[in-house]
Amino acid sequence: MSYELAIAPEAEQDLDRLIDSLPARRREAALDGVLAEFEKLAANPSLAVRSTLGRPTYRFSFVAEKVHYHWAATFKYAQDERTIVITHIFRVAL
Amino acid sequence: MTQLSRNAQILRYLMEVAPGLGRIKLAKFAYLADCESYRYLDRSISEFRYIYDRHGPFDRRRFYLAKDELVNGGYATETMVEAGPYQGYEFQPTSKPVEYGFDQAEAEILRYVAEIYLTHTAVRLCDEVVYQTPPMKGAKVGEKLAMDKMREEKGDELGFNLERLLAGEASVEAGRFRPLKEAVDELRARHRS
Repeated sequence: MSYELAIAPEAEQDLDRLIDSLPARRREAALDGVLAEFEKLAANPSLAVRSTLGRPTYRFSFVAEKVHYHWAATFKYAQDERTIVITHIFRVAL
Repeated sequence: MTQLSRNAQILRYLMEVAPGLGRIKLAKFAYLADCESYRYLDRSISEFRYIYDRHGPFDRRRFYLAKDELVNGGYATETMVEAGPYQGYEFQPTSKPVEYGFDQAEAEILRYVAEIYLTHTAVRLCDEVVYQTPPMKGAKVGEKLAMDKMREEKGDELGFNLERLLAGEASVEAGRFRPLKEAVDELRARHRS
């Protein structure tokens, strides 16, 4: 079973800022990469580890125009227990 | 209500999350909370100034001042306990109310440290956690600990931000979220234009 994916407004702002920090020509591919990675998480939340003060944290990488990016996201399960809600998205060092 | 010193508030808060703490664990929890706070907030929570004491990171003078403030003020009890051949002390918070001056992120860090390490023995806590922290690595007995070694992960404005994480979690609790696909489509349109 795959979870539904949702995002909190603060994480939307994070994603907006992260995408905005990329060269314009890479943004489309980056959004595709992020979405694909979150879909992997929705299919298998155990890909996340409990770091960052015990929060489930999913570290992921994607490629946009041959450039590798390494980001991470924290998430919470919504009350319906069928939805993963992204709470924060941030850049990480390798 | 009497205002406790910052350090006394920290010890009392840790006791509330983990009642029955011994003296060693109480001191180490305060140190670990300061480490985490440097990592995530770029500053300490307490006003302790740690040195590499005989038994690890400790600010003997300020710790005992804070502990005495709690015990003498009726905010905590200190009980002597026998632990095998040794004598130890356990602390319990009393019901006397305290007005805490922590922000949400600081309280979250204190709670996290007390909960996550509650079941560790003092020896395991020291060996596996405290002595592995960056300020303790390479330090020598008697030296002041460089807490800013915890800052190594900071400096990226698009990096992890504890306050933003907590705000995001508060939104989820309040039911403020929407489907990811919808948000991504909107972002895509905005960045195309």
